[in-house]
Amino acid sequence: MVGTWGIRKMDEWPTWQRWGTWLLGCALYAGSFWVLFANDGLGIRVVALVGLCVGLLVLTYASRAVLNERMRTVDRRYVRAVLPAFLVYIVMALYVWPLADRTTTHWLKAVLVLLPALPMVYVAWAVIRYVNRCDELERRQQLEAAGIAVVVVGLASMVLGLLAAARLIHVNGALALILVLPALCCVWGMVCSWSKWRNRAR
Amino acid sequence: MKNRVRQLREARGWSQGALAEHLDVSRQTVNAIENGKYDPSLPLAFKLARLFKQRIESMFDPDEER
Repeated sequence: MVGTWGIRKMDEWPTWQRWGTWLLGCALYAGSFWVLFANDGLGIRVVALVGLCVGLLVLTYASRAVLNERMRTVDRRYVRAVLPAFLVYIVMALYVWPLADRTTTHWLKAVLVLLPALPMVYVAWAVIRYVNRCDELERRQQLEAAGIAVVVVGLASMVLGLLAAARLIHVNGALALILVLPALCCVWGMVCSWSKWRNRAR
Repeated sequence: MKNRVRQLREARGWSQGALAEHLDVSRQTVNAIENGKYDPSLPLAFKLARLFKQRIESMFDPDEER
């Protein structure tokens, strides 16, 4: 089937093209992320942000294509909601959050450090809306993945906490708390991908 | 649960993707139903039955495990 601009839909591409595009998306995403945090220049950071956007879009489309799936309205709505919020979060983390060090006013400091959490609240809402609009098998997969993520991250936190309490390792409490949500999202995403891979259409 | 979804789909010359679009579900859901890995909910089973103009009991056999 031919899509917009006369290009064949990605799920109909040969396997090597779909996987090649997926790898390209991964490389673009990881590379842009690295450039973004390894450089201070405004120009290069803008280029990296654009690269990040394109990488995420390519990765999203290719991830579905390698599973022989096509982007549906629900997927496109999710990407449209999450992508801008993710970009706003990165910009805030890079330029707003560091401003907190320059102020001594408590309430202003609190506002500045909490501002990057706002786009993440929006992302959480978009994720809930996405899961509600998924089909019944996908919802079951999401529920299983969320359960496994809670167990894995909870157990890992407990093990680290026990080791830290016995002073066998040193754990930065603030960093550990910040990493809970990304860790949950990572495990959830991995379990979801594995589950979708098992049921992929042929 | 054994079902005749693949047989009915192929009789119409539809791909799994085409059936998924008719049902507004993902291809993996169609694949999982056809392979007996997933039993659809009652609303989805009715949707399938209406689409293929069949009775639910003629499409799904609860006594036979796949």
